[in-house]
Amino acid sequence: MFGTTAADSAGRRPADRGPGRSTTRPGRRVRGVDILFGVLIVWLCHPPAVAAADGRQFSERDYLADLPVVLSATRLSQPLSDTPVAMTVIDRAMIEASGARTIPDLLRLVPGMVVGMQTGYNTVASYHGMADRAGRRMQVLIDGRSVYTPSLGGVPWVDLPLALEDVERIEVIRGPNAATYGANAFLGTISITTRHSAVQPDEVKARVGTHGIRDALVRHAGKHGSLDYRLTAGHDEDRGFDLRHDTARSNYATARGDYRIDTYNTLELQFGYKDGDRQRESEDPPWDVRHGREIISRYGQARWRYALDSGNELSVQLYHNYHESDERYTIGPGLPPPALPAWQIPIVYDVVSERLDLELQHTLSPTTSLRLAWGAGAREDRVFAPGFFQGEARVENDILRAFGSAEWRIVEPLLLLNAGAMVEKNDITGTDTSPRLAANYRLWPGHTVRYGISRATRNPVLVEELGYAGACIDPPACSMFIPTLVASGGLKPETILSREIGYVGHLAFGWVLDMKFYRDHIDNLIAVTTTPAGVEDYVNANDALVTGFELALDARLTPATRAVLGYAYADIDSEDKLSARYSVSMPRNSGSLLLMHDLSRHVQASLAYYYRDAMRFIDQKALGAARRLDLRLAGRLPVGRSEGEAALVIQNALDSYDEYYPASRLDNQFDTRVFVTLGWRFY
Amino acid sequence: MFRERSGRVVLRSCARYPRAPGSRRASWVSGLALGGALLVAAAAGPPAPDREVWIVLSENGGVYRQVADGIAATFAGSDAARTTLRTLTRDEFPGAMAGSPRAGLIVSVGVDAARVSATGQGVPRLFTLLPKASFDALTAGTAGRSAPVSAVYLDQPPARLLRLIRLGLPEARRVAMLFGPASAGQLLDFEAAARDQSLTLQAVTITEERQLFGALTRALEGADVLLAVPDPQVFNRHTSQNILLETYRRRIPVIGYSEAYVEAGALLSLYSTPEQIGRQAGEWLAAVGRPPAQRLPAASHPKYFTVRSNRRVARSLALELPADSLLARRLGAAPENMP
Repeated sequence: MFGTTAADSAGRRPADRGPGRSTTRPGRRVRGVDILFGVLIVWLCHPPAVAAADGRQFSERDYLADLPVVLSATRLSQPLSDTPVAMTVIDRAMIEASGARTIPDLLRLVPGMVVGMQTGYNTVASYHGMADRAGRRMQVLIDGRSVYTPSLGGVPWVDLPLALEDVERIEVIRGPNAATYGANAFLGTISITTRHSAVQPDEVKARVGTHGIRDALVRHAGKHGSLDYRLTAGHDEDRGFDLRHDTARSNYATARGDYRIDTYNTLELQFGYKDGDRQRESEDPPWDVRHGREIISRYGQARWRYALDSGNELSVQLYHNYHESDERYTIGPGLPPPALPAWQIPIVYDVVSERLDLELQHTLSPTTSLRLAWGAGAREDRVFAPGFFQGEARVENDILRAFGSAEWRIVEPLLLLNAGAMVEKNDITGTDTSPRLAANYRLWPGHTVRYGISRATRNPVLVEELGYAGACIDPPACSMFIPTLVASGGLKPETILSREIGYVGHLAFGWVLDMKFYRDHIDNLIAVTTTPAGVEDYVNANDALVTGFELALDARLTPATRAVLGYAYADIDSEDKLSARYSVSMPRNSGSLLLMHDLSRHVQASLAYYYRDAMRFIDQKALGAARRLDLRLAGRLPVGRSEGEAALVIQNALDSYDEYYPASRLDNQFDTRVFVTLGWRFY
Repeated sequence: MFRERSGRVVLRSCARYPRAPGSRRASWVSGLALGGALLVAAAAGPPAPDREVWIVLSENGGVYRQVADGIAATFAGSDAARTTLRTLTRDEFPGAMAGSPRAGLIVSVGVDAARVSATGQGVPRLFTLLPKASFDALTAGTAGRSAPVSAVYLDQPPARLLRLIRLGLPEARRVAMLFGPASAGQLLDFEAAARDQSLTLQAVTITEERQLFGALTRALEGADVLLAVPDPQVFNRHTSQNILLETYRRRIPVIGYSEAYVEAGALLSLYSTPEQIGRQAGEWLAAVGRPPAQRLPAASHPKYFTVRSNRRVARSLALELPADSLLARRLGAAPENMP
């Protein structure tokens, strides 16, 4: 995903860096900050004092002892009936039953989410569509850490050091909510929560399948005094689409430590690293040279929580993200490397993005009917990508933000008022405010109606505001530089004003129904414009009106059977200026059905069916309607204190369909994939 | 009673001997003597207290003090005025036993105090604020001892706990429980109580904390609720985190045994506060003091209790619970089988 945007938006002649340009590149060395997090985890694994189990006798102290608050305000997920914006929760059972190998695959289960595989490993997920291969309009958080890239936008899903087996749940907020989720929570937010170290077993797992699928995972979880920790390492690879050059291979390692300092204080530390290579090809002759890209991605995160009681919590979070992507190849008229005739142009596409973020949050309940959360944060985004920011060693964007939200049960339990706002100041667009307001009214027990209105902004990413790319005709002297991208800057942020009426009902038999009607006004959508001379620029060009209806039903049909159904109807009205075809970027009708059934205590079968009408991604041609059926059969074998598991997954048992590109353009046909997973868990 | 008797004797004796002629002066003198005797009897006041009750605290302060205050408050409201309460810490106890006056009854608060006062030399004893398992351990092998012992346990009767589940979570059928070495003795009682409430008990017993996570996973399989009873290896400060996180992950509510547990994340807790324990002990003491002289009731679970819920957890799990006071009332109203 990373370099292709540049290949297209920067035009047909990507830049040449050449010797003689400033080439100090941050980040080739491992950053000190990340080492610090890793060292902290290792050090905490060997604490000086070990709190052994009490050898004293059973007494009244066991009854009357002080206990730490575990399910604190921020750990408790908000019930659907109280949320200010519609939300879908993908829980562990759904993650396993779906047979998904990656997070974007799981997002197909969310009504209104448009998911497309641009290459075998670059997948775009965007709520209500309006996405090109970068999917810039979503906020994505992993344990509160924002992972969209500041340079080109979008989320490099395949580069994130995260094992799906370590994910506890995924909450998808279907609508803007900057007050709670921060900047870029524009069309929606994907909030991923990983499992607490204390509740993870040791595990080994291997997966083998068609299309070169070879995955492996090993995890060790342990406890040392007041520290629970987990170490996960793994490998994933596959060959992508059959007729494309898009094999991806990665190795990763992550660590998490949950340290309980005392009754009130906990410290959570995380560290992750991933590296790998991805095969690439650009799409336009004569530049469609097959080459490779190498990535390194790592992060460190620390969060300190002070939980006074279950309604009162203070937390401070610090994290650092680092992502580096290297692509080097040569282009010329049809001659692949290593042959180097005189006028072949070496291309160097290195992009380094870094983010450092500090945030403070305080949650409190002054009265039983009022819950407040407020906080502030500072972020520094830094990018080194001479291919996109010619002549700049580094471009930066600093963001300051303050946020607050209040949940007030005006009439217990009938009426809940939810108000929140975020104020953000950044270097590109200055200061913006994103307020939201919602009222949840309980019609009768178990049935709630919600009306919400929310405003948010999407700030331009660095390339949209500061991009300057082109080609040197005469490297290395570069006396003649032909620009292909000159961002004129001065962009206004995109804005969305979303209104929704929703209903959440807890029906008979434990069924949960969630429906919403919405009307979103989106302004100042940023699109690419090309001057007569062929130079590209980013401008605020379009407005769009998105209206529609969504439904989600979670039904337990029998004690052994559960069905999760999703459906979305959408209509996007836009002038589609500058060939940015928003109006057809989301299918009119789309939906999914996940059916899980326990055949016996140890055997489970599930199927997932997905459907979407015709649509197109913004920069691509139209895709026809598509259907997909995934099947899974899994069995568990308990042996003493451990458990074995085997699973067979068939992805797309139906005919092949086109992902992202229509067949006339590129061969992105998703045919049938089969893989087998074998694992063993030790409790 | 003595006074009554003596009065009757005097009058009877007066009636037996009618006044002889010429003894008017003698009867006036005996009338004065009678009046004087009655006056002296009246002025002597109530008879000296026939006992002292000692309250021995495991520690000076905190919950132990609260129990002692609960006893004293209940006592002040009763008519057992011939008993004085004397509160001492367990360090002071051996010295007090050596001195005088002697204790008529010893109330211990907590396991440490119970252990110290166990060698009470024939004095009736009331153990309070301790688990049944601790009481059983302390009194094992002392059957047939001279002085009666009794207790107000801290643990709730299994019947009441299972009934709470029935009332608060009417759709729950399967109750998960984890037992450790200290609590294993209660397994059969809980099974019986569950049967009475038409609930199925899914219990796993472990011997050391290391086995907890696996046992928890097995116990929670298909369960609707987890009922926690304290045990140093199973439900304690360290493990509460694992247990609450894992049960919350599976959307299984936890019934806890203390106020701290419900604050930590249990859905409901059923417990008796130190004051409530003290109140019951005070009532028992007052009852023993009234004529006719009574023995202490048999050791039993607490009569007074509190129900508390965590509304945030309830909302997060989309559970609608009746009000705490309503649950408590309905629990109190149900007939108790006090062992």
